[in-house]
Amino acid sequence: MENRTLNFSIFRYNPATPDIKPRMQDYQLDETPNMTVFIALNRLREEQDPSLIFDFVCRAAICGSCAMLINGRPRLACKTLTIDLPENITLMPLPVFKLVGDLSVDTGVWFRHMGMRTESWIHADQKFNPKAQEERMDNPTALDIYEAERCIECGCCIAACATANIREDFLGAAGINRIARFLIDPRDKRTPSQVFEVVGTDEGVFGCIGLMACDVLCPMEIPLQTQLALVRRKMMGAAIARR
Amino acid sequence: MKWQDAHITEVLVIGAGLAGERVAVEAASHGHECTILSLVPPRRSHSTAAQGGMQASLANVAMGYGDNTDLHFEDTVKGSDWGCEQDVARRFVNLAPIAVRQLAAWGVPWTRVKAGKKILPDGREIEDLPEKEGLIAQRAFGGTAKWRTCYAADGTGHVLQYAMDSMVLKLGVTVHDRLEAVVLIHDGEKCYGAVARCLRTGEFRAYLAKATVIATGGYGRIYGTSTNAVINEGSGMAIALATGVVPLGNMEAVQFHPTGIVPTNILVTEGCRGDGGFLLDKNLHRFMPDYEPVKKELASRDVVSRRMMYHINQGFGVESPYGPHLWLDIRHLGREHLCTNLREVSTICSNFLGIDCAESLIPVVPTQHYSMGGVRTNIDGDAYGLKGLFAAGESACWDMHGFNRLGGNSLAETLVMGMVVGDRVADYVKEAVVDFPPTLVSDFVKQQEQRVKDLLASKGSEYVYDLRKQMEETLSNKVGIFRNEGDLKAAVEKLSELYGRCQQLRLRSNGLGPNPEVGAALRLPGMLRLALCIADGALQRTESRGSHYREDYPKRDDANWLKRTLAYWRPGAQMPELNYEPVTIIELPPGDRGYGEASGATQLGD
Amino acid sequence: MLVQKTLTKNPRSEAWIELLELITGLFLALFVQMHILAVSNILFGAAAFDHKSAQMDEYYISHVAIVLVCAAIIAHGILAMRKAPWRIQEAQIVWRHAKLVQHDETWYWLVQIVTGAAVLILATIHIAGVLTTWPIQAARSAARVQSGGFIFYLILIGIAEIHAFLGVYRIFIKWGWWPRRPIFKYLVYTAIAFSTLGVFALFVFLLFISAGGAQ
Ligand SMILES: Cc1cc2nc3c(=O)[nH]c(=O)nc-3n(C[C@H](O)[C@H](O)[C@H](O)COP(=O)(O)OP(=O)(O)OC[C@H]3O[C@@H](n4cnc5c(N)ncnc54)[C@H](O)[C@@H]3O)c2cc1C
Ligand code: HEM
Ligand code: HEM
Ligand code: SF4
Ligand code: F3S
Ligand code: FES
Repeated sequence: MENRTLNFSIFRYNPATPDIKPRMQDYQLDETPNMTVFIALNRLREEQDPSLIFDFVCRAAICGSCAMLINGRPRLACKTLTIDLPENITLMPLPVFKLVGDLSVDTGVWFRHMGMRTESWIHADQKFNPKAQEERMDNPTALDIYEAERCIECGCCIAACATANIREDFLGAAGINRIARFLIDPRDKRTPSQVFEVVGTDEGVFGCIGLMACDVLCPMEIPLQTQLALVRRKMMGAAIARR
Repeated sequence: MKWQDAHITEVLVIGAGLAGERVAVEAASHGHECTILSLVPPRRSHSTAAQGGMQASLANVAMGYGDNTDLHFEDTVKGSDWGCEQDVARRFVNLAPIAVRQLAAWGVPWTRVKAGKKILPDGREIEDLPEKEGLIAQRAFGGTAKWRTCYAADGTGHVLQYAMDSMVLKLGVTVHDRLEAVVLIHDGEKCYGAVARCLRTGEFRAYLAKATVIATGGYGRIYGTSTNAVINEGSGMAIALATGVVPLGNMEAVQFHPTGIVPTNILVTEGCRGDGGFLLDKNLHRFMPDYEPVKKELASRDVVSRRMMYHINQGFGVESPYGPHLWLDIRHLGREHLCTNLREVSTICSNFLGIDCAESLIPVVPTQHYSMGGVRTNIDGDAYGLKGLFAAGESACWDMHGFNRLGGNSLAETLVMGMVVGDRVADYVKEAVVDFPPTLVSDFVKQQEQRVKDLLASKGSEYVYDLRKQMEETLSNKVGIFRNEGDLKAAVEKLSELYGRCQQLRLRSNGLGPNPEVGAALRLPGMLRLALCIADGALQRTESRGSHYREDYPKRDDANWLKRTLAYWRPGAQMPELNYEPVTIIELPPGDRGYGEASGATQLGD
Repeated sequence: MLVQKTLTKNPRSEAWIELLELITGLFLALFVQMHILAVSNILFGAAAFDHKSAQMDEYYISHVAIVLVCAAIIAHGILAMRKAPWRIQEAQIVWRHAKLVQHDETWYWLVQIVTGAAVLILATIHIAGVLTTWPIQAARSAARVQSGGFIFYLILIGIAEIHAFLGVYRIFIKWGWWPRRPIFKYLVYTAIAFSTLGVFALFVFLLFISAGGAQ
């Protein structure tokens, strides 16, 4: 591999020093084999600028902490290899979410709020009986639920969506996918018309105008289009049925 | 901060991984008010990384018929190399099935049994009976007599954490994320809560509670190269140790995994070797048969790790900017096999190495994986030494893992122990009275604020990431898989030196707001203390047991060492004080583990 | 809970609006294609064109259609435009965002808003023009085309087709009936086919039909 020197242009802002306005700062780093943006940022912090703020947890594309705009597109920094990028790399924090500092944004609070809004838990009608055998479920149903549950709450789909960028209360693809997850789960006893109040609105599924940036940029490759359409049809069904 | 601004709650849980959330859910469902602190939003905790599965003797699948809690108990004790508490292991195996089923009711999409005949890779034919159709499916894991590992496709930890967190949402448990507990508030007898640093603003805040639970996960990152998340820095164990009265148990028991990829140390499954992969050195020579003519690459996890390190130390490692490594070769398994049976592996290779594992070699190195040691608790989860302090999960030494944890037993532990401890905490807070000594609280907060002020004003010369790197290298090179007196002595010496030097830290950045350098600087002394507990514990233990392997004492020594190390850090001390306590043996006397070498469990899976 | 929102909220209204947007959009898309087919009758000569036109008037098909289409355009315009970035800041955000993420379908949406607005203006002018020279006859149409209408209609065909095909594509995406990649391809083919047909018709008006009777 030829040795490249990478030019990073990184968004800087520390809320503790509000008089220093947001700006882009440049760094140089020699590329090493198999380098990911995770490795690069950590080296920059340890070798050049220990004040750099960014988030990594699992560094294995599992936890959803490290989403940022890499050359403009929302991606997981930990699974982005520098070799796939040009020499000039621009890193920006995700839009829509509250900025913590530099590349770090508060996706956690956003998703917590989303979880509360969608009441993201099983609404069962019976109490758990510790002595009984588990209730049966057929494996394809389990796999369908798993497919929707794979979302790692990274926020890429939210940041990528133009609607979410201008409508603060839009649930976004991740939120609507969450609803889909519970709609297909037989253990959740909510009917479509019960969830209608939450998602059958312009803040919910009807706020989605089908831009599909979510579907294209979801790092978990969750079939978001299918999930959004499923919820849209169910919600329209519920609206018509309620007449 | 004034003490009046403290956040007051009944139960304070430090850590929002599976263990912490399970404790909170149990306590909250008994009607108690809980607050959880976490470095990161709960769903980012490292529990989500577990892919393999969790053990519970349900006997649902063909290869698990006849399984029961007794067999699970036996496997666990053997796996621990008789280092575990048998009463704890017994309690654990009895509760594990309930934990799994409860999670099913809470929404985990467990993979389910499909009835019918199947052919195993080794050619055996098995049949899953129709009456088991739709029950929770189980898969094989190393070191177990039966197929007992419940799983949800390839993301068990993820779905478990999401289901747990949904219960936390439902029960309205308060969660404060991006908060790092930096010290426990205590008076030497009783724990009153913790002081936490807000990672959004850099400010300190006191959290006061009747009961405080440490559930902060493992410390893998003090080794630098670890399969653990980068937030697994052991700060929960460190703050317990820093009280001077709470001991850490068996810190020398550290589990290594043979195949972490270089450079990011992400785990690739042992299935690679199980299915016929080779390990190659820098000359592309397959070296394992030279050392293990019979089992070759399929010798037990710790044996393979040891051989690999030995081979690297002999100069056969492949040089790289990230240190020497070896190659894992699975090219000959064929693309079809790699894309179906080993799909996760090929995704990891393409995502993190940018290679196609059907055509390229995978760079691997043995990597720190799990910490058996932790905050020593009794069978109910009460920490030794302080009233009102509890611990659960990987950060605890409840001690069902002894010197070696079985794959799949730690997810199960987080949930079972979470349930047990949550229950115990609920009882405890019912009785406990609130009496927070205000001056004590503000003293603890001021102390921390002073630490930051000192750092900002420091005239020292040490750079936190420098010292940290040296600590990581010392541990990896000298307190790794092979241990011997010379190395361990050198390690203790080096770590002590670093511990001295870390008083001289000086910031290179301005240290304001959510500055990460301040966080690292505040954490480093605690990490070095943990490192010293590990190194010194390993130096003193002159035997080999489980994952603790002494080249100079290669045999298990039940006569002298059937006991648990308790490491204390007395106020002002420069070294830990090591005490020992006997191991509880109620059912199964020490014997042969039944799988090859006295100190090795074959573990497939995670 | 916000009192003002709770008291006014009719949970189903937004679903109905969505449904109406779907129906008006589909109806208009269908109309535009049918309309081009109808106008292309000119390929069979002025007589055929006039005959059909007269036939449609006789059964009041034209009158009904005109009313329906005008109503649909107004309703659709209001409904579809409700999600556009109206505020200056919103528009700036969307513009910046689209440039940043380099994602085609986000651009399509912007194209759709712009073409929608253009269609609204051009179609209004067009309909007004046709209605003031009622009834529809080949000669009158030819006069319009030859006196500068040619370029006008070329533009109108282009943007109306682009708008309609992107709109129908979006409907498929949103309701998820078929996989979107092949649908996109087929819709492009359809749009090109109808545009070509329309352009042919325009050439016929321009070159082969004698103008007259209009003024
Ligand atoms: C790659 C990998 C694969 C694995 N696979 C399996 C498997 O298949 N089966 C199995 O049984 N086990 C497996 N394990 C082990 C198992 O996943 C862990 O032991 C278990 O998840 C630990 O859970 P926990 O709740 O104790 O800690 P964690 O999930 O690590 O949670 C720790 C929590 O504490 C918080 N925290 C830490 N420090 C502080 C502080 N100072 N202040 C506030 N909060 C703090 C963190 O934010 C986090 O929320 C695997 C481990 C790894 C690394
Ligand atoms: C004959 C003309 C028209 C046709 C055939 C047409 C067709 C369509 C179709 C099929 C859709 C998709 C509807 C949906 O997503 O549910 C659509 C969307 C849209 N139309 Fe039109 N339309 C026409 C005129 C107009 C006019 C006059 C305007 C503007 C005033 C307009 C603005 C829009 C906008 C902004 C959208 C996007 C709405 C969204 O995605 O939410 N259209 N159009
Ligand atoms: C509802 C009332 C409408 C009537 C009565 C009407 C009538 C006509 C007539 C008579 C022509 C022939 C050319 C001419 O006479 O100038 C024509 C052409 C055309 N009209 Fe309309 N129109 C209507 C609505 C629309 C709308 C809503 C659109 C587009 C969105 C449209 C787009 C066109 C185009 C593109 C042509 C050129 C067609 C071609 O070359 O094939 N019309 N229309
Ligand atoms: S749906 Fe995909 S992009 Fe959106 S938050 Fe989940 S994983 Fe991220
Ligand atoms: S990008 Fe946005 S508009 Fe809908 S299809 Fe995805 S949520
Ligand atoms: S660090 Fe966890 S997804 Fe990137």
